[in-house]
Amino acid sequence: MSRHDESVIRTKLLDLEEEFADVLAAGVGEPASVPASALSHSLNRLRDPGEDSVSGFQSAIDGHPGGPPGRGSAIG
Amino acid sequence: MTDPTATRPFREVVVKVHGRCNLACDYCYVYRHADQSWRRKPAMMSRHTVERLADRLGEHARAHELGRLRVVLHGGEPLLAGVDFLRYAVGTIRAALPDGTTPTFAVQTNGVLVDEKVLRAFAEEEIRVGVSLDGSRSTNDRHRRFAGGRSSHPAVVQALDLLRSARFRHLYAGILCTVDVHADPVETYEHLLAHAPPAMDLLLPHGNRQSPPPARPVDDRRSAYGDWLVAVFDRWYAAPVQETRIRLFESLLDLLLGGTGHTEALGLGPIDVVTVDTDGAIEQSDILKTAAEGAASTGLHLLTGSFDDVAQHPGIRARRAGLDGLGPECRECPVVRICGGGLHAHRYDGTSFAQRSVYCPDLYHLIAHAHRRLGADLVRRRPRGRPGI
Repeated sequence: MSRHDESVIRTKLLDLEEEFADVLAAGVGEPASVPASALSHSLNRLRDPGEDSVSGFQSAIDGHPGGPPGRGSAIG
Repeated sequence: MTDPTATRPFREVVVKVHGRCNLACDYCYVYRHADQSWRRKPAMMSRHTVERLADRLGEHARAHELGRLRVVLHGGEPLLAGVDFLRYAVGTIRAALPDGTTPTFAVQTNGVLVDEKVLRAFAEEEIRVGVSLDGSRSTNDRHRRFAGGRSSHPAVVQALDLLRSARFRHLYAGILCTVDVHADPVETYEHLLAHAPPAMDLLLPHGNRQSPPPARPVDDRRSAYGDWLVAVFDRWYAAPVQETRIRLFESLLDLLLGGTGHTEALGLGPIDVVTVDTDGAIEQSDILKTAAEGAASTGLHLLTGSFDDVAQHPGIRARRAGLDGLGPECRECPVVRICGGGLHAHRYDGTSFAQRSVYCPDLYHLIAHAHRRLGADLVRRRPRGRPGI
């Protein structure tokens, strides 16, 4: 871990949510089904987290909450 | 009897339908690490145990009015139990659950026994299929071979070809890849991507502070695994249209943006997973078997205890305690909300789980990197004239 990493983390990590509250609140402005980037999918999930999230078992890939972007269903 | 209203329910149960495997992967957490209890357990779960499991799950679902319950058929290699047994297990569990509980079933397999007959049965029973593959043939063959040394890669690729076909695509849950730090990360990712998985996850090889993983000396500040993950993250994140889902990275992004993670490997979210072994013993996440003999054990059994009883086990409670379940160094760390101390088992130091993860520098590096990329992109999304970082 570089010293730059440390300084970035210590001064800014916890600010992302606060710093960009306006961007997060705006979301992506398009339906979740539209093909989109990883960031757009994440913004959609924030707006529509779906079912109660489970920190799932790591040794299985059975699908996890937020399946199709922004939805609380299984993957695929 | 434990008051169900005071207990957080389990929402995911890992069912060890078979305790043996037809591969001999050199990093397997079931056979190659500290806990060797598999030698003393039945090779396969009995129908009687399945019926007791179903009763307990029904009891748990009713007590907590569970809307959903995830059931993962696991092992060893679950397909060694045979399709008929898996059908029986799924049908018995379904029948025992109340009307308001929707179960989802998945199997995590090494893939070598997957064929059309198996997938037709899984389609009828609505069982989704996750497959383990570590990358190209040369990468995969470094760790995932049959006991006699034969490569498993061709058979796994055949399984993935079936799963991505139009007939069975709806069953395809994804690919689990254990990171080989000696393999090129982007080549590995792109090789996996060629199998068109709807999702994948990247798993750090198991180890801990007492028995470190390969190429990961304890407290060495270099971050070979962090570098590897960052390379894949950049390739994945930069795609203008997301090509697949990567659970680790999605969890990372969501956590950085104030949301919740979806893996026990990151974040402070409570772990709602419980394991049932072939003999009916109820255990914590059995990845803990990499730490010490008996580390996953709760001492409880389907015949003698409910899932609510298991929820009171100190180990279960610790992994649902968020920040309070971590040691002082982690609690003081500025990235703890994202990292969560990493995977519980990776923090073991021979005595407790109160230390930093053996992968701490790698996780820190990955989180810092993703934070920078995310911050820069959020600035670009901001309306003109607003200040950025």
